[in-house]
Amino acid sequence: MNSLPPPRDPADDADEQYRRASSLDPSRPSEATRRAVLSHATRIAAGRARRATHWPWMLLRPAVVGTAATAVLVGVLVAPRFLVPRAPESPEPKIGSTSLPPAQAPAPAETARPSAPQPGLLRARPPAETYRQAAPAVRAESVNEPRADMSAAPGAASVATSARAVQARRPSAADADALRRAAAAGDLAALDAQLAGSGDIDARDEQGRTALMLAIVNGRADAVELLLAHGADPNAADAHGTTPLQAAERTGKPGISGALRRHGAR
Amino acid sequence: MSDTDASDEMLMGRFARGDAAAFAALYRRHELRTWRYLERNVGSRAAAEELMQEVWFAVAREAARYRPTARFTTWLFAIARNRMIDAVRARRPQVSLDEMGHEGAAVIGRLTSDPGSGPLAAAEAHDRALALRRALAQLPPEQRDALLLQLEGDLSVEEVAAITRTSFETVKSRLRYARTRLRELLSEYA
Repeated sequence: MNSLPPPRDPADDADEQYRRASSLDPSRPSEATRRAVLSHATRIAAGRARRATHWPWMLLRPAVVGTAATAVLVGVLVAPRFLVPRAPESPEPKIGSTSLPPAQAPAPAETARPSAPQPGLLRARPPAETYRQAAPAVRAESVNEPRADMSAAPGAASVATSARAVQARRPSAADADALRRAAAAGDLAALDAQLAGSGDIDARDEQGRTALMLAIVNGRADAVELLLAHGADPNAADAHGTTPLQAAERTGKPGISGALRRHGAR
Repeated sequence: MSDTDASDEMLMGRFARGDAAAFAALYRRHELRTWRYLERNVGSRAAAEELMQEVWFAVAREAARYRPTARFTTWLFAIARNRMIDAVRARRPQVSLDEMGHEGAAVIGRLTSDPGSGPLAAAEAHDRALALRRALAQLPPEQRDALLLQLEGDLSVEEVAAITRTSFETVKSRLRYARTRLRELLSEYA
């Protein structure tokens, strides 16, 4: 029987001596240090508590900002296509309630054109709609008013009316000029881009020439087709009274004349 | 669960969510151990005060990044050791342990002048505490550091090895030498 305790580990002995002496050491950090540490932690905790309270907003903020930015972008890019400067309401009843004799009514030429752009197509392509919405007023005047004097001076009457229409409805001279230049050059890309705008497709230059007329005299068959498809007036004569069909016949390009006829040119 | 019952890791989690009381509890729990580790290593009360603030400021600042993959004390003493090394590298003016001994004696004298404990007991406590400081000061810095990490940080040999970035065997050896020497030095006093 061995009643002696196991030999003490020197390591334990050293630790014991350390702890005993250490417990007698009253040294502590100063109260100033303690206060500094705790007040620093309190400030940090307050900041974290604030952030924790606002975390849903912190998480949602990028989504809200992103959505708002997208909405603004869409508004800037898309809205102009639908914010079309609408023609004044007054000319519309004029067409319907006209007192002109039935023989001078423009209906057959305007409404029964066999290859006029289909309404569905126009709706599908807002640019065309844009140009068509600006066009009726021009046509209403250029068809109705001149017809009163048509027996006397068919071309001049149309030109005079069209000149007034140009003054009244040209949304942007620069746009109209760009449209005419694109038509004259047969630059379909530029033409398409211009047609996407809100300008008057039948805007005229100093000589009363529309974009269609310039495309015709320059022999740009594709541009002619494109303009007609977007509702260009196939009978808009220039300041000299030359009609698009006459101009097309001078170019010697039967394709252009045929396109004009299909769209109601006389 | 009260602050006293909560684990260090739970208190850290609460503080990371903005609970200042959790930090106060954590500080109270580890204040003395951190203090002794720093003061006995640097040998200067002024330097230890400064380091103490830096260490606990860092704990508060980094609390959100703390992940309880390791014990809180391991993380705490790793911060303390790193700050201490930074201070040494910055060559901050430090008082030698002998100087500190005089300074410390004055501090101890003030702190132990408890009328209830009697002048003899106070004198003995003063002497023993001073003897411990002097004994620690005679240890090589690596041995002292390893010993204080283990005794004040309550860290295992593996944890000390990880914090000091040395091998397990090296730490074990340092601890063995440190304890042998400390026992000798303290026995002389006894």
